[in-house]
Formats: sequence, C-alpha cells, structure tokens
Amino acid sequence: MESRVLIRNWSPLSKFLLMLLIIASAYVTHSIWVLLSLIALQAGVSVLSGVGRVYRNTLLALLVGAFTLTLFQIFGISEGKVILTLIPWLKWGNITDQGLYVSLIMSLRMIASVGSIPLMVVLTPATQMVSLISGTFRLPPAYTCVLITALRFIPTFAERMSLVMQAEASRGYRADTANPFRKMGMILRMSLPLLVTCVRDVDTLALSLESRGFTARGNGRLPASIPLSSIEWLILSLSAAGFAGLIVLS
Amino acid sequence: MIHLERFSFTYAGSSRPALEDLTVHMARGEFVALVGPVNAGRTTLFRVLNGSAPTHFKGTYQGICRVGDLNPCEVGHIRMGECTASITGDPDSQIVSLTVEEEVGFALAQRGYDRAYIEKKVNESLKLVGLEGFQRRSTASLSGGQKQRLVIASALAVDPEVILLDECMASLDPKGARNLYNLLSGYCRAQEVTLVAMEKDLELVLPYADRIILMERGKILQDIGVKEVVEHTQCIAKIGVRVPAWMRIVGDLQERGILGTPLPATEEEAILRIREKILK
Amino acid sequence: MMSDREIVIRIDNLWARIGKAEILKGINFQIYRGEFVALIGPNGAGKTTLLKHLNSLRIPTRGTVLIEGQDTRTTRTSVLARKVGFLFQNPDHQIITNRVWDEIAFGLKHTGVPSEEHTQRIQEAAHWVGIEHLLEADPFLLPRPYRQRVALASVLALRPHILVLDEPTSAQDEQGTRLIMKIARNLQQQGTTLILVTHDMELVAEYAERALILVEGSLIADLPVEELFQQEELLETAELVKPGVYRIATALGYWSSTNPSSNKLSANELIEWILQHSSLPVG
Repeated sequence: MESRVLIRNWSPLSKFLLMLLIIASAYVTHSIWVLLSLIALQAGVSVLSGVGRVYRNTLLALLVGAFTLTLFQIFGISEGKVILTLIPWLKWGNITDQGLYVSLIMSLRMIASVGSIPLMVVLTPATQMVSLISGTFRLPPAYTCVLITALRFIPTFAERMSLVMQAEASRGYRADTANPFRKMGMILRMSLPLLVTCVRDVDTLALSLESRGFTARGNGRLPASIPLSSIEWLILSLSAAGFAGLIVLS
Repeated sequence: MIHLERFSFTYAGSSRPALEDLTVHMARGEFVALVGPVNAGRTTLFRVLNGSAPTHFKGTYQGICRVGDLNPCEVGHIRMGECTASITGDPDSQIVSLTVEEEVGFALAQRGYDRAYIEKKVNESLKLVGLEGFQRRSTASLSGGQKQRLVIASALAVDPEVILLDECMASLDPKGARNLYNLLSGYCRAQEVTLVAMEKDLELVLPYADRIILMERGKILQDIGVKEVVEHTQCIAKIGVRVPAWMRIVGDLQERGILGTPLPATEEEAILRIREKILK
Repeated sequence: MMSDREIVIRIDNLWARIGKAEILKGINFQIYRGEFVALIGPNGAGKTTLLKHLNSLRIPTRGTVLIEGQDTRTTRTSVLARKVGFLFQNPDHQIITNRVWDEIAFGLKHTGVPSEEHTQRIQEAAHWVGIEHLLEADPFLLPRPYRQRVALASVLALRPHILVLDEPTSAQDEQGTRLIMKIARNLQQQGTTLILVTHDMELVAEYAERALILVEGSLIADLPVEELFQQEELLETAELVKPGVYRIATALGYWSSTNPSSNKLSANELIEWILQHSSLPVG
C-alpha cells in the first residue's frame, strides 16, 4: 500500500477539494501576507512532491500575466497619494499607493489561485482523473469512454504527429522550420491525414471495446471512486478551518 | 470447435467474394495456421470468426459457420467476445486503458468479476507473457513488443475458448515472435484452447502449429498436418509464400529419388536424413 | 579498390542521448558510394535512432555525421532530403494526400524539382513499383502493402543518392518484398548507396554486401556479409539467426570439408555439394 502522506497518492477528490479551497481562500482574503503564504505553501508542496520545476515554470508564466494585468490596472486607479508620475510634462501615468496596493493584491490573487490548477493536474495521474470524473462526479459511461479514449490517445497522437513531421521533412517539406506560424500551419495540414488514421484506429478501438464487454448503452463498468484516507481528511479539515478563519478575519 | 462448410463471404460493395466455398474443421486445443499472400482472405476469415463480419464489416455470407454452438455471423462480435479473443498486429488500436493492470483486467471488470479475482488473473496473465511487475506502468510508455505482449495478456485473462491471431508478430523481432508463439502454443495446448493464427511467415509457425492451411484469393488450396507440409513445396511457392530452405532442398532431393520415405518433416529430421542416407 | 571509392556517409564517434539514456555509444563507420549495407541487431538496439542521424532528424549529442561531406548539425533535414531518401516502416506516417499522383509529386514540389520534369518522374517511379494503374486512387483506401509502395515511389521520384529502407518487408508479403529488393538492387547498379534495416537474414544474405551490427547502442561488428554467418559467437550475441541454407550447411559439415572461394552459399549450391558427396547413385 502506498503512503497517503504523499499528495500524489491522495484520492483525486481530496486534491480537487484542496484546490477549490486554495482558490476560494485567495479571493476571500485581503491580506498580502496570506496570499504570499498560499503561494509559498504551493511552492513547498510542489518541491516536496518532486514537481518543483513545473510550479516554477507556472509561476514565471503567471508573473508575465500578472505584470500585464498590473500595467492595465495601475493607471486606472486615481485614489490615494501619488507616488510616481511616468510622464510628468504630460501629467500622464500617475501611480498612486492605492493603485499599487490593489494591483499587487490582484496579481497575487491570480498567482495563488490559478497556479494551483496546473499543480494539482500534474500531481493527478490520468487514471485518477478518470476515476474522479466517472466515479465521483458520475459522468455517464459513454462520455467517460470517450474521455478515456481521448486521454489514452493523446500521447499516441502526439507521437504520430512527430513521426509524420519527420517523414515529411525527409521528403523535403520544410517541417523543420523555426518559424512558429509556419509550424502551426503545418501541424494543421498534417492533422488531417493523421485524423484519418486515428479515425480508423478509433473504429478498431470501438470494436475492441465492444468485444471486451464495454458497450455505450450497456452497464459498462468504470473506475470507481477512490475513498479518502485519514490523512486526507485531516488536512482537508484543517484547510477548511483555515478557510473559515479567513472569512471571519476579513 | 470451429466448423465452416461451403462458407463464402463477400464484402458490401464488392463483386468478388473475399472467401469462397471454404470447408474446414478445427478441433479443441488445435493450433491451426492459415498461410497465404496478401489478398488470400485471411483477415476476412479472422473477422468472420470473431463476429465482426458482417456485423461491423458489412457484407453477405452463404454456408455454415460455427464457433462452438454459435454462428458468429448472426450473433456478432459482442457475443463472440465472450468466448473468443482476437489479436491483430497493431497493438495501438486495441489498447484502451491508461495503465497495464487496467488493460489486462478490462474485460473482466466489464463482466462484473470481483476485484480479488481480477487481480489474480491480471497477475497470472502478466506473468505468462513476461510482463511481471508492469502493473502500474502507463500503457503509453511501453515499447512496441511490450504492447503486443500486453494485448496477449489481456486476451489470456478472460480464459477464451478460441484465440484468433491476425499477423500479430509484426512489431516483434524474430526471437520475440518465436517466444510468443511458443508461449501461446504451450498455453493453448494445456488449456485446450483452439488457436487460429493468420501468418505470412510459414517458417515461423512451422515448429508450433498442428495444421497448416494454405490460402489464395479466398480459397483453401491445402489443409494439411504440419508433417505433410514438406510434400507441398510447389503449392507454397505458387501462392507466393517463402519456402523454408530445408524444404526446398528436401523437395529437390526427393525428385531425384534419393531421400527415401517418409519425407523428413522438420529441418532437424532433414539434416539427419541427408547425413544418414546420402553423405559418405 | 575501396580507398578509391567515395565516402558518402561518415560517422565519427557518434553518441546519442535521449533523456537520461545513452542510446548510441561511440559509433564509428564509413559507407562508400554504391555499397549495400545491412544494419542489423535486436529491437531496442538503437537502429532507428542511428538512421535518424542520417538525415539530421536527430543531431549527435557528441561526434559528427557527414553526408556527402555535409555536416548534419548545420544542414536541415529538408535539404538533406535531396540526397537521402527514407522509406519508413509505417507508410501511414508519410501519406498525406488523397491521390497517389499528388503523393508522389509531393517530394518533387518541395525539393525544388522543376515542374516540367514532374510527370516523367512520377510515371517512372510508379512504373518501378508497379502502381501505374493506381495513380488516380486514394492512397488511404489501398491495402497496406500498396500504401508502402506509394511511399516508396514518392521517395524514388526524388532520385536520392542514398536510400534507407527501414524494415521494408514488414508490411509486404513475399512477392512485395521481392519487388522492393529487386528495385533496391537495380538502384545499386545505377550507383545508389543502399542501407537496409531488417530482421530478415535471408534478405541480408542475398542482397547486402556488408553488415553493421548494433547491440545496445554499440557497433559490435562491421564486416562483409559472407563472413557474418561464420561467426557463431557474434550471431549469438546479436541474437541473429542464420538463414536456413547456412544452418543446414553447417550441420552437414559443408564448411569444414570444402574450401570455397566465397562464403556465400545458395540452396542450389548446397544441393550440388550434397549430390557430389553422395554415397548413393544419383538417378
């Protein structure tokens, strides 16, 4: 039995709930320190779970987004004391302390909340996700089947796309271009024949599924929901309490 | 176990029958290999026996076809899937799950067996094909050969009465292919499972099969025990299948009348016979 | 002599790493123009990875690959396509149009062959592989062996100097295999360099002159094919099985009792020898 201390081994439902709690906390609080703590908490979890690099990349991407948001927001708020004027002789571009504060909160909120999503996704193997969606949320079997097939095929599709691009480059097609727009256009062009082979495969796959007892209309059995362990209950309870506390304090 | 009598099948929209007037009987526990060139009709027969033709691959049929008590043409692949296992050479279009253990246990889970039983069968099957310990691996991370073995493990887990193979050794190297045929033929003999393999490489199946059926253009040309194959080298060459070297040599020496009877039935026997009877 | 022949592929100390694994370890060899070389070894040895270095689909982690003098690190695949033709194992990864004619024309368009030449080249290539009657067909609807022939035609139309065949027989029956190998031999006679990756030792024995043996990323042998089947230990290490004729010849003591000028042996030659050494009157 694997240890449930590792968040990776938690039931997907716990991870999902934890993620919701983090997002909700980020929007309930007005304190910069709380938001920074939430971000630090997620960073800590990511490092302990071995996905520190993923979270770091997420943070960097979100920082860019936050910076952009800040730029738009910061000039829109005129209350408060003016700290800095960008273009003095035109009297344009006033940055106030209030504006700074609001922008900062918004950015931190975004980072703390949105950043939790890729973190939870990368810590949840596909099988757990399927179990969450079909077992816990009770998506009908036919849709789950489509979902499993899609998830199962993503690596295959990606691999085939890569093989097709290599094959075409080998015939002189400029598939090895560095230009991203050209690359995009090419991927779209290659998608069509790839889809043809994939459709053929999906057809065979459907045949295989049916022969093995899974029919869309029938009583197809799917991954059941994974029960929560005591550690998870504990942490979820603490988090819920923390969340309640934040509401009270704000 | 399997009976076809004067059976013909024509795909919808085609004027020529893909299978013409086939009559063949296969017993429980027998390993029958169907060998022939590309359009011989082997894949069509594969589809007929597993119930997907004409249910999925539309067409019309005549004559009698029975697998056990069922007529696959009538009951379809869903029902046939309960007693037969079909394996093709493209594992990617047969693997449906994200992890190895889910894949092997898939059919059993669908049929409502309890977890303990499924776990037992999964472990047994993985052990049989040499994928022990692979339970938690994601199916996408397996190599071509491993995927093919996974598909076979999934088939064995349901204890089928008939196993159908359609050129399933394509992604394996010769050693891997031989290991698998060895494994399957041993398993099927022990469990009295009828094994039907569509192959294009005669030399590969020869050491394992009980019977060889030569097909060309939808017809059966020869239906012979594996020991008699050596008497039909001309037919094999005519339909465009590679004749194993020892058979060619035996055929030639026999024409010159110096090999004696009965003809050696394997490469080893041929070597012994040539040594004894011919060489000083 | 060998030294007079031009080197078309030069591989120096090639190392290839994928992720954390060293897939190719210090590979060295040269291939001369017009040679027919077989690249063999068990699955997972790194053969496909090595092939990809030949048209810069992969760049060496260490070492150099020179194709007719051009360094693959500075030459794009689409440029090398004019010299190196690749027939992939799975034709479905290559076919992207719905008319055989267009499929064969695809490479011609993208390597800058003048349009006046297209028709002739397309018909020529189609004729070689025996699909002239299918030029208007949809390649996706053809059976698999024919799809591979379409792929081959599209590569042949480019008249590559070096032709790489990656397991060309897995999609074909015996007749199709013989056709492809016959084309390969004809091309060799016209000066094309051939590289064949296959598990079929009978093809290696019949068509290839030289064998490169790859096991677990290392080139453990580079020798003439005739000598290959004499090396029992090497065959075992590389998990290779001798073709039937050689197995029978060894078991009958052919090699020890004769001193043949060549180690290549055909079934007919073996039969001749058996008859010569026969203790029975031959009727």
